[in-house]
Amino acid sequence: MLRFVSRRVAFILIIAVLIVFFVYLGMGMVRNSEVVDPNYNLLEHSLDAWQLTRAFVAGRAPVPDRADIWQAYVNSMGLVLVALAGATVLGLSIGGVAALTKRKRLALPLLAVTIVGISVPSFFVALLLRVGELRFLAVTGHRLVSVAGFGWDFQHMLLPVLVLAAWPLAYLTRTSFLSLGRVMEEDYIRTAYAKGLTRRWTVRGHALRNVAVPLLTALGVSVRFALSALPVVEFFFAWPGVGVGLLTAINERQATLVVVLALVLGLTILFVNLALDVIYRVVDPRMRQA
Amino acid sequence: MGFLKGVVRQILDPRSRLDRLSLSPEPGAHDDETGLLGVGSRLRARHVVLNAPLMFGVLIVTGLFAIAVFGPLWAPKNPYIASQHIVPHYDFQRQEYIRPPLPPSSEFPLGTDRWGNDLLSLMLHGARNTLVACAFITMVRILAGLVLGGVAGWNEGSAFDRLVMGLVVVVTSVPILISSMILIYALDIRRGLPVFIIALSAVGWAEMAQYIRSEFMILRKAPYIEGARATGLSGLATAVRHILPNVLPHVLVITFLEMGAVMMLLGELGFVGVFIGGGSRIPVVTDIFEFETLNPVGIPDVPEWGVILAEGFRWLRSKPFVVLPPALAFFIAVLGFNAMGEGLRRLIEQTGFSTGFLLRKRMLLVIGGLTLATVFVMNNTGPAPWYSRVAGDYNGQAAYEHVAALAQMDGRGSGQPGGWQAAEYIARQFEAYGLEPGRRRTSFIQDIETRLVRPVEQPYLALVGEPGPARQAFRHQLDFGFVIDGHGGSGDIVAPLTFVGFDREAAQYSWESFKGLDLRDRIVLLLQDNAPDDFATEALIRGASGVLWVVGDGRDDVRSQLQVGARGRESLLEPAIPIYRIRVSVAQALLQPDGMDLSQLLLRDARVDQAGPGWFAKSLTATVHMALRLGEPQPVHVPFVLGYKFGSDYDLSDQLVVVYASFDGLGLDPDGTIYPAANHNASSVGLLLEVARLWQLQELNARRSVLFVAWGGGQLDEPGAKEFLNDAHNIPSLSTRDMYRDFAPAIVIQPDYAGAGGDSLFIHPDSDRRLTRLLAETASQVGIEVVTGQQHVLPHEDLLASRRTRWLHVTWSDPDVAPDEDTLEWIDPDKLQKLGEAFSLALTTIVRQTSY
Repeated sequence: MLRFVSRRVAFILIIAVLIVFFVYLGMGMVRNSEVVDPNYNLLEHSLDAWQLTRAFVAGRAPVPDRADIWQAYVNSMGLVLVALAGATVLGLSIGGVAALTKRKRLALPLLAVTIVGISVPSFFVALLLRVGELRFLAVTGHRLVSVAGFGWDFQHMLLPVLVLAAWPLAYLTRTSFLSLGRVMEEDYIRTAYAKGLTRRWTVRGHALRNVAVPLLTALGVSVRFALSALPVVEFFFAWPGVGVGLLTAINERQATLVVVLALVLGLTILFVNLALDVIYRVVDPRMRQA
Repeated sequence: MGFLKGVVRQILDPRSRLDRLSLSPEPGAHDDETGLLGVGSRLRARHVVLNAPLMFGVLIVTGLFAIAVFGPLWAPKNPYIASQHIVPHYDFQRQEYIRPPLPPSSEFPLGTDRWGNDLLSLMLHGARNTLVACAFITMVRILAGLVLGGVAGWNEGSAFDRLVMGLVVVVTSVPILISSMILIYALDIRRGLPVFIIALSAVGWAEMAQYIRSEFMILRKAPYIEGARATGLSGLATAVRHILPNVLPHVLVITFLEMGAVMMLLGELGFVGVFIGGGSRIPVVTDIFEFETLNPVGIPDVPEWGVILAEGFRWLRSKPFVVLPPALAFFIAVLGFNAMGEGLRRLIEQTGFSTGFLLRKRMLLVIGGLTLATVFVMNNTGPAPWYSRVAGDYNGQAAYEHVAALAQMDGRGSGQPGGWQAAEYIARQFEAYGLEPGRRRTSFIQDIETRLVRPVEQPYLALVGEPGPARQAFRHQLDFGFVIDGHGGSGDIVAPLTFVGFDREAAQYSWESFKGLDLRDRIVLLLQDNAPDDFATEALIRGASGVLWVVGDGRDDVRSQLQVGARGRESLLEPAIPIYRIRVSVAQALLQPDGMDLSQLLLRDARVDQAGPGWFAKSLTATVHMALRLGEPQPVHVPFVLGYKFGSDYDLSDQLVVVYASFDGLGLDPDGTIYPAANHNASSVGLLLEVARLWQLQELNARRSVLFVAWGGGQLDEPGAKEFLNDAHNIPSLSTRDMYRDFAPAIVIQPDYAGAGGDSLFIHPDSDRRLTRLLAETASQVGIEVVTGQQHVLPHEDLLASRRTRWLHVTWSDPDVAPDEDTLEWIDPDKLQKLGEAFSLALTTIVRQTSY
């Protein structure tokens, strides 16, 4: 296991260097696209980007204030964590309960709702919530929650968390419902019942472990999706995080800042994936050989 | 027959056997979510009808398809050309300040955006761009994923596999919104749709590749693959014939889910301000007091859902109706694609429904069709095709009727009643076509005052016998014209000709150079470009009683001078002698009695009877009768007609495009001769009027301000252009931004001789290069060739050049025609049509495109 993890970490470091390189390359081309210089070709771009990458890796790049980056990262991850935790708990419970109750009539509405949930763009949810809140304010004169701004409180976090959680919630609900429903029809579940296990023990001992892998995969996908939607949500709710920082940095052509922020998000995704891989191996013995 | 058909089919397509043999669902068609193996029942209608998500998805996708195809037809307005600019204003009736975006109303079912464009039209027009982009991006992603993932999975563990997997990890580790944004900017967003396709495909193929790779890795080890290999199938054939069919059902499902994902990404990109084309980034003023220079906004050049979203976000708080339609459209589209995917998944589960058809050749047709559609949309994304449509409505017949009307007005002489009649006619048309009046916005017709001198009797020039009657009389304006420069004036003389030739540069002659030259009681024949320009005065001093200048055969070369004191010249000085300019043909006739040719004139031969340093004189036998009686110089008002079409674009409206044609002709001569001047220059005025009509008809909204000018005094030396250009009131505050700016016309375009001539267009070689290229392009669309030839000096060219104005002068090639032949019959309606189409297309492009 240790060997696996260390190899993966080494791999992640290589990928990180590649991310830095590609982002530098991209940002170099962005800058060049505005002043068209026909003599400047992709090779020169790549060489420049490689020089910058080497400087960055060696710590010679003019990296912005680490405290600021860290603060933005904490802000973003706080939001993502709350949203994902809520979505996971809620999604698994709803999906699991719905799957275990085995009501066929429940299936179609639930799946329909989850399809809507995974189809609705984050900006649309955000829009609806915000317009709704503003209508509410206009009609009643009371402010339920804040429509924009930063703060670690219910007021400020509710709307962004709701928006961020919408897609993962729908996706996790759907996945848990479908995969648990599938597992519950497997032969070994029938066998477990047949040998006299109670439902609780059957689910705990046989079903959950088998459901874990698709659920973990879904969780990984959710993390990726949430991080991808992060810029939109932060932009919309004026939440000072990595996503909105990236948008600003790209628009202001601050290459190194873009590199740092993209790298931070990239490393997050990579390490989440690594963690998931480790958990796969713990949960599912079959994965250990692979 | 059926059997035969089956056999043929088997031969042609070996895979079809597999389809038939697959009684049980294809192995590997397991679903990672439900794991329900297909039941293997045949596909029946009830499977489709009872499949709620499928029905729902099909409904939405069909609807989207219909909108993409027919949307532009259903749109009430055309955002490319008719974007209606609504200036913020105070509505006194409703007592409120009106400024776009306007809320939904009967005129605008969904309201307007911030420039007053009809949102419904924008949405309907934009659907095509957005949806085709989405479909094509998805296709590229799927194909790239299939190929890369398939090859990687088939060669598991190889270097290629590692490379692909490394790339997959890199691509998937940066949030896709960010990576696509960087890539789009890197490839230059201004290039439009292709950049989006490349960028979104490049960052989105990884998931597909990952999935396909894992499927290939699993299936590769399946027993039936071993079997296939055992029968001797090559690796590629096995992959295509045995593995691909098993993956396809899922690929089909994923395709629709992917479309949903691409759609959502397009929406998010639009939301953060990245949309197709990137818009023209200009600072926009929304209020007198509110300057938004810090945040230049993108004015959408290409209607697309993302753009509306991008700018609607700015009005979220006060005017949510702007942003809701596009957001809802994105949501519905994503929902439709996802539902479709879900429905198909169920269908495949329930029926094991064969997707073998996807591998048939007709799939290539689908791919080809989608590519064609994308190419079509790429080529038609943007306004150019719409400009063509506007230009296509150009009606040469209508222009011809204007020409016909103008040609009847007594030659439209400067300051003569016919000229005023024409000016009033043009002004009426301008008003009817919705142009705004010019000077201080009160009247279309303005005039400049100048002093003209007109002949009282018909000017006369004839070759006479010794001293008998006229042997040959020449025609005023056609063969000769009088000059009033310097000492040119009235007189009635009969005298023999003397030619004076020079062989030095004009500057080398001084006041004493001509000592001894005796020209008493002679009419002096001079060659232009040979004699010094002021030699007429010298001839007068030497006793000459008349002067004949031999000039070229150009149209304006022998035009009589009417304008007194133009450009600071001295005119009508005393004592006066008649000075004419004559054509080469006239000179030949005058040389006939001596049996001489024009080319022999400059030879110092035996005929030379006087000579000095650098000059010589030859007495000729011909006797010439010159008679000219000029009236007193009269102050005359020369009309010209100005019609403005004000630009709607805050930034571009300051740039004035002047479209310029003179409407006047030589007018009426004392003996009643009329020169109708149908081609020069009623035809160009007809062209102008028809373009104005076209724009009104099409509700074209010009971004730049346009000034249509029908100048009077085109037959004068100085048609008032200078006075006009120097008077800032003539270009009334086109914009509110900077009242004190120097408003020079940015572009001046002069069509001339629009109705007849050779078969190709002639563009003046000094014209601006870009304008020339544009007109050449539009002309080639209409099927006319463009030539640029020799340089010739245009009247008022110096005025334009000094102001760094870009200008273009276009005529039909070889347009010159004698003034008396320039009648309506000379006009070719077909030429009027063709030049009009090219011209109006170019002009529409100029006033609409930000880049000109």
